[in-house]
This record gives sequence, structure tokens and C-alpha cells, in this order.
Amino acid sequence: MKNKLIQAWIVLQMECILRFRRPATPILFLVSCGAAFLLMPETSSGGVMFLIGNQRVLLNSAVTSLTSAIMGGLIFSFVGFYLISNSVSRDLKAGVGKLIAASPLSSLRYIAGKLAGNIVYLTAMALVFMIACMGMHLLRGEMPLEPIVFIKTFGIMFLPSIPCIAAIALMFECVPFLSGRGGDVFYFFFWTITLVFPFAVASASNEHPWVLAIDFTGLGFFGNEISLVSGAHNFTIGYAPFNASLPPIFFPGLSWMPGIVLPRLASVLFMIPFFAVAWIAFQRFDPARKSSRENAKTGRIARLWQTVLSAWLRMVAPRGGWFTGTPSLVKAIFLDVRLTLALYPIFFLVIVLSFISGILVPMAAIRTSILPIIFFVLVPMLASISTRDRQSNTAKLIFSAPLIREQFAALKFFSAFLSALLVGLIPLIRLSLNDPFGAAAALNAMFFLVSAATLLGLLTGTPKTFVVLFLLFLYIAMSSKTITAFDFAGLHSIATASIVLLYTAVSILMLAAAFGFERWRLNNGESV
Amino acid sequence: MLTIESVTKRYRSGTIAVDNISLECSEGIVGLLGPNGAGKTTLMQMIVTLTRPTSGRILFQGRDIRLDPNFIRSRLGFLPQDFGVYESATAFEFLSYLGGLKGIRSRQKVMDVLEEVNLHASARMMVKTFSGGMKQRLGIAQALVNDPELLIVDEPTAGLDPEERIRFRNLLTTLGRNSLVILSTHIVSDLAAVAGRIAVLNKGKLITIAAPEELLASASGKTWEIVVSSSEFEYQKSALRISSAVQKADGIHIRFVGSERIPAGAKAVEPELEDAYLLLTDKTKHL
Repeated sequence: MKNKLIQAWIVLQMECILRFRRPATPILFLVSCGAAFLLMPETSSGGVMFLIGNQRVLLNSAVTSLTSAIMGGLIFSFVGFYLISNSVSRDLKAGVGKLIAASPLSSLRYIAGKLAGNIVYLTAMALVFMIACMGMHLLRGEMPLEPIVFIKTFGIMFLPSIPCIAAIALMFECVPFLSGRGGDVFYFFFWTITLVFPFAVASASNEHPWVLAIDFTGLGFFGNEISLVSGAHNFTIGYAPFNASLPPIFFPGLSWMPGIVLPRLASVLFMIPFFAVAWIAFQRFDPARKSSRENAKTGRIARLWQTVLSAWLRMVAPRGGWFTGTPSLVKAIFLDVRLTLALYPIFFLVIVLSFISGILVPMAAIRTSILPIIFFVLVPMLASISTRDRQSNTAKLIFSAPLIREQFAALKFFSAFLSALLVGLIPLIRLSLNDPFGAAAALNAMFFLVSAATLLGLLTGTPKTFVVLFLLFLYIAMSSKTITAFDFAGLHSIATASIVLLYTAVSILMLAAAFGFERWRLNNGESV
Repeated sequence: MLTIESVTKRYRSGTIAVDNISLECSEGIVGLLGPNGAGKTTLMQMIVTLTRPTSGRILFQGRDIRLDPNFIRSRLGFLPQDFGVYESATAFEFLSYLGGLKGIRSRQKVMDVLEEVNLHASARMMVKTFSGGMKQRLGIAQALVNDPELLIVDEPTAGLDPEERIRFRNLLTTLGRNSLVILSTHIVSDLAAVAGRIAVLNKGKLITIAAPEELLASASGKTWEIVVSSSEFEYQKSALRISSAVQKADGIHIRFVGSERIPAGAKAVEPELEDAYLLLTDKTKHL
């Protein structure tokens, strides 16, 4: 038994070494501190993070810890997933998986060690964030710092959520159809549901205490607690302006009633099914089972899909004619677009659906449904374009072709923009007939997404950064129906010309940064 | 020690990678030889429990590895061809990690193995600073760290300089005295230098298993050399099974194998293992 535990401990140790030694880790710690700063604005700014009615609450430790734990926890439950969802795939990509699979380490101990590694990493991030929030309390708080209150509040928020996020991330890695970019996008929708559903059920009635057991983000729990303690159902968590003529309310802190706290702590058990699925689905790096695509070759529908895909691949395969002769950037861009379409056959389906729906749906739905869906679909697609060469170790081969190395940023930008246009072309044309400004704003939004994807992809070399940041951005933008600054694509019809121009300016800056970075890398002799 | 009984591996796509192979191996070095796609890697992956046979069974020291995989795993050293390392770990950390998974907790043992592969001076260096050859040696070290009773190595000398290659071959010879070493490589001279028996695979089937001397004997009288002009070479390269062609002042010296349609002027030469291998795979190419 002791030896078995030691094996899981060894996996955990290596996880910690690899994760904490990543250059991104200190940057993430700094970002956590920055988040703490943003989540505790000065009251003189006219807004606070916690309002009851439209009255602000006195900033004691209970309030500052509560608001930062809720807001931080929400961001954490989303971003945390992407931070840790590479522990198994790292072993596969690094080629260490086969060595591990041939060792006496059982699958259960391997998965348990990875889970523990995920938990430790997220806990460290949460601790740094909590300490930063305590520091911010010293700066912005209106009553003395009470560290125990912070520890208790962060504990009740993060103790159940961290193991759940860790187990969910592991499950997504181990289940073949959830691993990869599709899973990254799917988690976004999963997160949205787990965020909204328990909170809505818990707010609507107290007759469903079971819902707190699946409330791993803690939103439902905190909603209940605040209502219980303050007696108010009308409260706001998140930055909002307050009525300065009213005196601040004193909020004593959470009730810590066992009937509420225990179900919250018990929600840690929500991780068990995810861990179990991860364990069962883990294929121990078996080369015969690793590809779900290879496995999907039976069944009538699968065969039909394969036939369509083959025809599609033949259609987009590079061939002679115009592509032969002197190499040029334009030819390279078209070849890169073709490669995108060949590598991700799902986009064939997306383009077809976009064309059909762009023609058939009512005009109003283009703005409210079709374009938002297109933006969500574009995120994983754009993320892969500027990173795939480095991810698949083909960059050195590509750079040996004429013109590519010097114009890599331009190649990736135009290739991504053209691919995005292919997906959104018909809806944009349709929109432009009725609402030219709306169409221009949507096109500008594509430019914004493509520029950001190019910059972040070239900077980090991984698609995850863009996926995380822009899924979160899209979520905020789609839900903020009254804030002009977030109407980046004119989807809520509140974007002004100056907002559109602002996004254009930011896009140009990002693009300039991407070009500058690639130039710097070239001048410094860094090829990959 | 290792018994392979009628093992077949069929992938879901229908491809048969290993076709009804039976083999019995005891201590010593067994070489696996065959063209790409012959089934060598799949066979090794089944022995190390990375993937399961579709049918048949593999016994190690009398135990079915499918029923008791940890028995073989704890006695195994495995170096796959496409292995990798954690770039941000040091050599010592990486080796301690894989050693630890195999039950090796002694730091001294880890250092000893690093010394054995000539990496002890770089033990505390990050692996990302290593050259290709150093990474390969680290891979060899992880395969040796638990003093394996069964060592399975796939293209172990790829990326090693000549001196390291010889050093590794000597190491294999030492290991082969008390344990079973299965060595797969395309470098036939490596096999000729160390293997006690060579198994030749083609298209998933075991063609033969024999001592190098027996293989050489089978090619005796069937290995030839002839000097031809450049224009003649163009014709001969499709007509003959050529094992080497060297341009010299008097023409192109072709070495080839075969027993039929020997061109006039060809003279018989002493066969080498590569010639024997070519002859064998040529015979079985229509399997």
C-alpha cells in the first residue's frame, strides 16, 4: 500500500516540478495579483463590487473577502480548467507516456497523481490570489484586516471547487472526443450551465438543497448566504455604481450555518464521477486506441461522413495550376487556408451551415443568433492557425520554404482572416443589405479576433491562451447588453462609430505587435 | 523466459500489424530485423503491455502478461523509438521519476546509471539543454535504471556518435549475459556485433529466427559483386537486388544478392548480414 501511495506521490512531485518551473507560472501569479487589484476598486471611483439595493456595503474583511472570493472563484473555475488541462496530453506529446505505460504504475495511481498535481497547482494560484486580496484590503478596506475571515471565506469557496475543476479537466483530457480544441469550447458551455443552473434553482426556491451539491462554482451557495444574512434578494456582486447619498450598510459576513456550509463542502463529491470517468476512459497511451477518429470507421452514418470528408479533402487538396511557379505570399496564404480546411473538416460543415442559415434565417436572427455562433466557432479555429506549425513541429520544415520565415506573421494573419471570412461571408453580405454599419462592425470584430489570435498564437505558441481569453471575452460581451464598450461586433445594436474605431485601433496595435515580435524573433535567430 | 504464442494484432481499421507470430526467447540478445511496417514496433509494444494482442498470448517467466501485466512491467526496461523527455526537468529528476515508478528510490542508483551512460556530469542540467545524443543516452538510462530482466530497445543507437554507439553495444553485451535483450534496429552492423539470434519479420509475419552465422550461411554463394558503367547501372538497378553501389575510378562497384540471372562478369563474394537480410526479405516480398 505504501509503495502504491509513493508512486502517486512521485507523479504529483513531477507534476509540481513541471508546472511551477513553467515560465508562465510567475506571470500567472502576477496576473492573479492584478486581478485582485481590479476586483477591489476605490469607492471614490463611484462603483463597488458589492451592493445591496443600490447602497454600498462597508468594506470590512467579510465583504472584501466575499466579493473577491466570488468573483475570483468564477474566473478561476473557468480559467483554471485551461491552465491545468494538459497534464495527460503533455505526457503523450512529450513522448514520456509510453515509458510510463510500460512501468508498474497503475492507471488509477497515475490519474490520482495527476489529479493531485492539478489540485496543488490551482491551490497555489488561489493562495497567491487570496494573499493579494488581503494586501488590497489593507489598501482599500475600511476596517482592519481579519486574515481568519479571508481564510474561511476563500476556503469555503475554493476547497470544493478546486478538486472539481481538477477532476473535470482530467476527464476532458482522457475522454477522446472531449480532448483537444472541441473540448476546450465544450467546457465553456459546460461552465456556463454549471454557473447559471444551480444559482437559478437555489434563488428560485429553497426546496432543492440538492442543487448545492453540484454547485461547484459556489455561486448558488453565496447567493443563498447573502440573502439569508442580509435579508435582501436584490443585491449585486460585480462592479456597479452606488448611491453615494446613502450611508454604507454593515454586512456581518457569512452565517456559517451547518445546514448551508455542509452541503457546500459536500459539493466536493461532485468531482467523483468526473474522476471515475477519467480513470475508466484513460487509455494508458495505447497507440492502438488513442485516435478516436480512427475508431469512428464503423456504422452507416460514420461511413457517409467519411465519404463526404474524402470528397471535401480532394476538393481542398493543393494541386497544380495557379499554385505552381514562382512562390509568393498570396499563394502561400491560399495554401494555408486550404490546409486549414483540410485539417479541420468540421469547418466544412460550419461553412455549409453558415451559408444555408445566412440565406434562410430571418434578418433579426443573423445578428442575435448566427453571428454570435460564428464568433464562438471562430475562436478554436483561429487559435489553431497561428500555432499549429509550432505545435506539430512542422515550423522548421515550413520556414525552409521561400518567403515564409520573413512573412510568417502576415501569412498567418491573412490566412486566418480569409478563413474567418469564408465562415461568415453570407451572413455578413445579408446583414450589409439591411444594416451596413452593423455589417461593418461585425467585419471589424472579425478583424479584432483574427489580430488577437495571431498575436497571442505567435507570442505563446499555444492555442489555449487565445481560446481562454476570448471565450471569456465573448461571454462577457454577449451578456453585457447595455455596456457600449463590450458591443464589439454591434450585436446588441448599441455600438457607436467611436467604439468600432477603438476596436480597429486595438486590432492594428495587436497586429503591429505580432509583426514586431516575429521580426524580433527573426533578428535574434530564433526559428521556432 | 519470454514465450510468444500465436500472437496477432489487428487494428480496428482492419490492418494486421502482427500475424500469428510464435517465438521463444531465453537470456541473450535477440535482434529484430525487418523493413518499415514489418510489425517490429507493434510486437514490442505488445510485449511491454502498451497494447494488447487481438489473439494469442505472451508469457514472461511463465506468467501471462495480460493477466498480470505488473509482473513484467516491474522487470522491464523499455526504450521506444519515439520516446521523449520532460524538457524542464533535470536529467537526475527525470531518471528519479521513472526509476521511482519502477520502485527505485536510491539516489545513488540513479547516479550510477547516469554514470553508466556517461551523463553523470550533466545530471543537474535541464534536459532542454541536451543534444539529441544526450537525450538518447538519458532514454537508455531510464531503460536500465531498474536492472531489468527484460530489456526492449527500439533503434537505441539513433543519434549516438560512433564512440557512444560502441559503448552502448558493449553495455548490451554485458546485460545480455543475465537477461533477455530484444533489440530492434535498421543498423544491421549493430545486430551483427551483438545479437545471438536474429528474428526477421516482414508484413507482420516471422520469416525466420536464426543465429547470425546461420543467416550468413544462407546467403553464401548468393552474394555477388560486379563493376559496371553508369549507363549499365541504370539498367542493372532495376534488374538486380543491390545491397550497395559505390562509384570508383574504374566504374560502379555493385554488390547484389540472388541466385538467378546472374550477369556475366559477376564474381561471388563473402556475404554480410545485410546481404542475407536482403535475400530473405526479397524471397518473402510477395507474402
